[in-house]
Amino acid sequence: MPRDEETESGVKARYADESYPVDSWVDGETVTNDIDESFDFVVVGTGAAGAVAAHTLTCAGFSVAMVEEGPWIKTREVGEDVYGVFKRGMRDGATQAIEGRAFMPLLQGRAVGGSTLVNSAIAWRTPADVLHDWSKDFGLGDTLSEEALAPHFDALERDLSVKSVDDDVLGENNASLLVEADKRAIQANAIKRYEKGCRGEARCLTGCPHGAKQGMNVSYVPWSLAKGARLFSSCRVDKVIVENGRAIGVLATTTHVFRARATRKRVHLRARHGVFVAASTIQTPNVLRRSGLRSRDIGEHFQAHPGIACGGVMSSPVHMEFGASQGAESTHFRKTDRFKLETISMPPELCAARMPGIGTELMDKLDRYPNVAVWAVQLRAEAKGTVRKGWGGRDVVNLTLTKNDLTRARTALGLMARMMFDHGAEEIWPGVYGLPSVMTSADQVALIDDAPLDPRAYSFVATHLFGASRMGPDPRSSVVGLDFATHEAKNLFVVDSSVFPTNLGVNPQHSIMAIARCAAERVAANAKRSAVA
Amino acid sequence: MTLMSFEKRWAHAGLSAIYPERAHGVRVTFDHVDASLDETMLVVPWRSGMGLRIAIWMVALSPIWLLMRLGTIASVRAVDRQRALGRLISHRNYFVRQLALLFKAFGALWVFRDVKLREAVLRRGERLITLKRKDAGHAA
Ligand SMILES: Cc1cc2nc3c(=O)[nH]c(=O)nc-3n(C[C@H](O)[C@H](O)[C@H](O)COP(=O)(O)OP(=O)(O)OC[C@H]3O[C@@H](n4cnc5c(N)ncnc54)[C@H](O)[C@@H]3O)c2cc1C
Ligand code: SF4
Repeated sequence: MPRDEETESGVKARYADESYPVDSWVDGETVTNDIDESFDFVVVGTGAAGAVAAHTLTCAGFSVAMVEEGPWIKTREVGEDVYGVFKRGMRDGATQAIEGRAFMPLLQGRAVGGSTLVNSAIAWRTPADVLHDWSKDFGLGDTLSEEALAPHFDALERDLSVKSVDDDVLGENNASLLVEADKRAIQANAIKRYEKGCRGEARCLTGCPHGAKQGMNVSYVPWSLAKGARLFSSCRVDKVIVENGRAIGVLATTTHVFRARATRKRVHLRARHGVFVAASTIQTPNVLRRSGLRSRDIGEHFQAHPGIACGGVMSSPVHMEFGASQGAESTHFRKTDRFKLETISMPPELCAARMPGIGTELMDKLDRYPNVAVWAVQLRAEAKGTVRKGWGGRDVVNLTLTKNDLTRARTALGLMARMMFDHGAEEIWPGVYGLPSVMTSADQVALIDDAPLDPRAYSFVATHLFGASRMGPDPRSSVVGLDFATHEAKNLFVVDSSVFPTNLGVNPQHSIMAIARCAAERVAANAKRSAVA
Repeated sequence: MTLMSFEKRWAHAGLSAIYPERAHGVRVTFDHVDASLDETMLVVPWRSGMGLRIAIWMVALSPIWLLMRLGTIASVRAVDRQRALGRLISHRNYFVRQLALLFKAFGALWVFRDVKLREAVLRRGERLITLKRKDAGHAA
């Protein structure tokens, strides 16, 4: 149990996000004057990529500014209802969607810590086969080899305390997937996560109320501040200033969800050695465009892991509100069928939205919430899409799943449905339009095998995002070079998953952090060398 | 973008069909809905706000075009509200269905801000009782 400690500001610090030098955090929501400051490096975004890059640069002895569009939501402020976090901590109040033949909700954090504030903290090293493809098919050579990344994974795992979910916080939703997988000889395991002292509150999606989940908001961000970095939260970077082909700083504007535009202030942060853009796969392409970059490859080759859930009512209590939010997984089908199975504890409001029916039918189901289990599939979709700039500067994301993707999704759904019935489900909800919304026997699952191959029939959600500012040696087919600098502007580095040539088939945060760490370490070494020269 | 009071009335009426006030031990209150509607319209971008407004209008007028009843969702009987919403949620047209699902999903976020409703649905107490029974079993 964390203890209260006295901080410099006199506040009793119980959590890591309360312990930092008082003047290291500038909150854009309360700023009253324009700002103009100078640093060695400016890092845009404080998610998985930005926070790690900032920490690495700070530890290398550079002065660093972290600029984040969203607010810093502290552990003490974390509530239980999903509305609260969607309103303050998610981009567009969680109403973003990928467009294409069907709409696909797109969830992204917009807060200090980025999406790690609301994610499940699942840690997966980049699979060797993916790195091999990047090296051979996309010309990355040894830039991101297993050997190059291994020390970074090691360090991250130490810092963020990566470990498998303990038995005593596994919970029934997670345990049941492991039991069923075992019966079918499907390889499955308890998930490895970034956590220190998880109490199995199943609330990772709304932010951990105990500061146990090691999101960037309670780890690398406050750790960087403690080492001398500065944080500008609620400050949206409008553009990177590029002069004579070189990035020299950023221009930002303070933001406040509930306050008029007129009260906004200008923030000018100068960067002596460079600017790191880590605004995520979706926002980075338009930050680059607003900064004057013109590469035709910006916004191309976007990929995702669309997720789809299958819920059901079990014959005995599951109590999803207890256990690691996501505690069991199987990568058994990753290479053969391009999908990964995961459990996911859904809070009542998300369950209500996903449950079939309305009125009394819906309330009957809600009444059985303690017996509800939800499992999900992450699909390594082959579909490629785009991230463009829309009207009013909006990020417009387009992706339509292919027939192959949909065939794999329905295979996975059918498998989960069968496993749930084997585990004693009284009914399951496949969530596919055109099929019965409630299935009460395993015989009906055959219908899923023939479900329509139309993306509009399914309810996918996207949280894992890749590409759109790809890395590669050739400026004609990539945006970022092998040194992480854009081909067009010197000292403008991109370090988030927008540089990934493809998606992964496993959860991306660990890969993103390791690559950002590797990039920051190399850039820092170069900056030191050139300073000496 | 802000909603007019009649639009909020429609939203209430539509949500009361999806989440009826009383069923089993679960009691739904709509105490948080008005404030949440205002806040949501402020927080989400213009396009999403417009989508929500269109969804509310679609729900409001659904008795007319789906049930041939002269009246808005707020003025028809509770059973007709449920019939209209039921048809919207499973409508053949993808856009109609998506807007209805958007309305249902937002409604869930708003009504579940009520702590009592959340507790009634979660029934955490039952889990603790089950655990205690299990522990007692082991001890025996
Ligand atoms: C609900 C959910 C669950 C997930 N679960 C997992 C999981 O368990 N394991 C896993 O590996 N992955 C998970 N992911 C995905 C993972 O969190 C992301 O892939 C990862 O956080 C992306 O890192 P990033 O730094 O690229 O972007 P983000 O973490 O999204 O951070 C980008 C940050 O940049 C800020 N920003 C954007 N534009 C600007 C601008 N113009 N100016 C200033 N700041 C800006 C944003 O506000 C944001 O805070 C999940 C994602 C979600 C949404
Ligand atoms: S499961 Fe609960 S206690 Fe554990 S990390 Fe997630 S929110 Fe925190």
